[in-house]
Amino acid sequence: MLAYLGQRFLTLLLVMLVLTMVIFGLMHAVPGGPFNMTQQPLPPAAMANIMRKYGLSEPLWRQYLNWLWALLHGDLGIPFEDPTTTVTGLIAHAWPITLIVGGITIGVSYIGGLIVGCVSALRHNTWIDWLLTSVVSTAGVALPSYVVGFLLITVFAVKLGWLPAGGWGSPEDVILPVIAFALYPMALMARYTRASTLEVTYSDYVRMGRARGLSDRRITTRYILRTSLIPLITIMGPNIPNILTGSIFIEATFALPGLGQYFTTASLQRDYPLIMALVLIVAALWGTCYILSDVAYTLVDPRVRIEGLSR
Amino acid sequence: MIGESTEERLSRMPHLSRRGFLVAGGVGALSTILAACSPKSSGGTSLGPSGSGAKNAVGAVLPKGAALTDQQYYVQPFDSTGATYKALDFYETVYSRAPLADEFNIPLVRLDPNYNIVPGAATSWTQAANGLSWTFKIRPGIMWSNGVEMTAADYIATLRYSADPKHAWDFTWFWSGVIKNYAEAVAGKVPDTAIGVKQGADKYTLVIETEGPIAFIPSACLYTTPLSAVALEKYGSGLYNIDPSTCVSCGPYILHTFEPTSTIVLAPNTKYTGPFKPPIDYLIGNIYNGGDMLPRFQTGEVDTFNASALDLKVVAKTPSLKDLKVYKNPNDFEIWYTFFNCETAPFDNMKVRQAFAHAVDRGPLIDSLLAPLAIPAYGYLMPGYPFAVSTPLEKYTNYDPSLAQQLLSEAGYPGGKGFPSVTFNWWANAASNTEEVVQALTANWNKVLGINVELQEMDKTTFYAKMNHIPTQLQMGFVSYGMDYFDASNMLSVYKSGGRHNWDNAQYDSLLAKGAAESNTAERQTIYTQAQELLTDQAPGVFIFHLLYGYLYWPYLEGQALAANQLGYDGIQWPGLFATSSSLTELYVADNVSSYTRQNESGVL
Repeated sequence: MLAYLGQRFLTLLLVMLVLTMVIFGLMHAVPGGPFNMTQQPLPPAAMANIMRKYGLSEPLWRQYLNWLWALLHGDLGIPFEDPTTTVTGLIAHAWPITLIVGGITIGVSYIGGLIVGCVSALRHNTWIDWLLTSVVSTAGVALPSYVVGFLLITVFAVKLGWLPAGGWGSPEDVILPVIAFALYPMALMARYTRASTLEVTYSDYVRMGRARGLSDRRITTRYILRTSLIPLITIMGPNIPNILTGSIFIEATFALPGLGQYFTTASLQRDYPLIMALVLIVAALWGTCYILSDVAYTLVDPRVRIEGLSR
Repeated sequence: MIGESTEERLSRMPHLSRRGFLVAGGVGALSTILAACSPKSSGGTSLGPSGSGAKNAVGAVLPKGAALTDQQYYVQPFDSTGATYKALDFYETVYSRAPLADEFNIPLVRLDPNYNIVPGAATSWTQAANGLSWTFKIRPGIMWSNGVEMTAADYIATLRYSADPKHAWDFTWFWSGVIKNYAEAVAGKVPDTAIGVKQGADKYTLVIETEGPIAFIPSACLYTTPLSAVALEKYGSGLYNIDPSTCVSCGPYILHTFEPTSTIVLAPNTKYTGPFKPPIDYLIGNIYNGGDMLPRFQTGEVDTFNASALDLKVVAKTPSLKDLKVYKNPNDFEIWYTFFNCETAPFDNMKVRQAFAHAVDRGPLIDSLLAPLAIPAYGYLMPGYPFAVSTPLEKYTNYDPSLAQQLLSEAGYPGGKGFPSVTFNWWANAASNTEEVVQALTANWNKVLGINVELQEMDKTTFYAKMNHIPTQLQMGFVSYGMDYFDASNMLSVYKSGGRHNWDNAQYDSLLAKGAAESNTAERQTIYTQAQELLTDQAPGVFIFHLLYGYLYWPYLEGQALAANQLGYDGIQWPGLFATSSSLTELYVADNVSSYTRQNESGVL
């Protein structure tokens, strides 16, 4: 298993290296640079001073090698957006906020979705199923998070005054963003859980289990739920990096100073060092998540084996 | 249902099962937890006696009706979308200044609510007989918080720092061609010590030498917001002012908190010795990356906000807000306009440009999309801005479909036949409702002129990069400009040869040069009127509207800073509650604050 994981992570590193080359070339190919948003064209001498100060006057290949060399020494550079800090410092400041909101969102949405989906499936075609499927699942998928966010702010902050309209610093700041953020993945989780649970419920081996006189609880937990988790790993696993890197809509709606905003601002402002760092984060998270998903299959599905690995 | 008994009513109620009871209980418990979490459940601030006559931390005597000093804080929201916050000083960076910047100093001059230049750190200023220099007399006794007196040396060090090629200041164009040798210093041809900024007869006398006779120097000196020469020497840049432990101020405020993604707080500078003492003790900038500001205002998170036209419609229908006064002023006298690439076909033909100018129906466009926060623009300068004229320009750009069609025909495109398809570039700006405005303009041109104008949206960086590229890469585009200082020479220079756009007109350049050198106001008016007529007539751009800014303030904010000026504009005027404005000393929190929900800022303060 360790050799397998080592091989997969080594491949991931190579993929990331190629990715950085592609992204570095692409972002410099996009029109405009980080200092182009001046109201009037800067005098050439003034622009040359700025480019020199930020190391942008060097040939592109040298800029890339400089960046790579610095990266190997643990230095992600200085963000043009905020040159008073480092890219590492900026991420260290913003990402924990995103991770807290994202982590709770994953917990709430995945557990909540699992419960809603299972209850709907086990009580299918009853009013509970109808309520959970049509209200929770459909509304959760159909309503964009920023619409839910504004509704929550209007009700709980403006009308009732129970919770803050946004900001960060106290525990209650987490509540509304998590509800708005969790609704979609929870609905998704619920729908897939319901479908896969229903499918398994009518499978031959479950009928066989019932025929053998196994208890409902044993059939549900050991036969149905465990098997119905397999498709969920495929569907919900890749959602984790999305959630853990934040949402520009949620962060903007609730004024959270998290990482999500930088995915758009870094691109729009051509903040090259920050773009590269974010690409690395996303690539590492996605790659790791896929590797862990593959490992998870072997744990929940006895039929899946890693080649060359004996159990 | 009148006369129905309690028993009957109960009998019609649904039976509450054990499961139903648990569900109801769960919902109730959740509501209780949420309610318990609420920090604002206690509502507004506590009642307190008036602070009238009391002195605050910088020695300002609170006016009659003012609240106690612990309520004298002012919370403003700032939207950081698309912005970068690197510093708190103009001479460190202009385009990436954080909210509440430029409060740690006193500029040479300031603005009053009627946009007059009034004394700041300088008590007087005079132009030399040959017109080639200006001398400013600085008040003695203004102390920096590090115990050093503010003198001409601070202004000299700051302006030299701005010209240093290693600093790579992003606003060098401002003084280039104005201060002697400034452009040469920026280009590294002469040392920054060679720029024309010197000490005069004593340390309280500052001399600014200019490249030629320049009449607008006092107006431009609104941007003489100095760094401390001692601190600049010690730290090597102006970034010492973003760290509370190293911040050095001679203004009434000093840095308390600098969190550019969430909060900036300025506290009173208890060592302040200057003449301008604000009643407000703490300035707080709440920074939001987008989102809706209205709920933040409604919940008392902020004391004011800049409302869009859409916000004002919502406010008018919201019972708790509809009675609030809406303040309107031109802020930085912004013009929104369509520019053309005047060097390539079809817009190298003046008649084509004039045809476009006469095919814009501003009235309905503004009424339906921007009212009440815009007025029609017939010239580049907004009415009220120095030397602006409007009515004489209308004939050059009024809505006249017949004339527009005739001009296009004279240009060789009768009925729009043979006119090439052109691309109209724009970037999204919510405040000016650009998305709808450019669609309306395009529809108007296509309908009136029988041509094909196509819209192309870009992100702001790409737009500006392509517009500022030499030669410009945009055929036509929709863009704005707000003034930098109060003089026609500033905004009209946008169309100077070698400026933002490529309409190179020697007559216009000559008029601007004459106007800049002329010190007689009446003569200057004549010159700038001619320049504006030439600009609107030859239509290198079509001027669409001037933006007004709408502001809401909770009624506990009072003071002359909010009163209407001579032009009828009210609310805090440009440049805002800053050291460069007399508004700073004219705003306070009134003792009726206890009647309103205001979030407790004690966590910050």
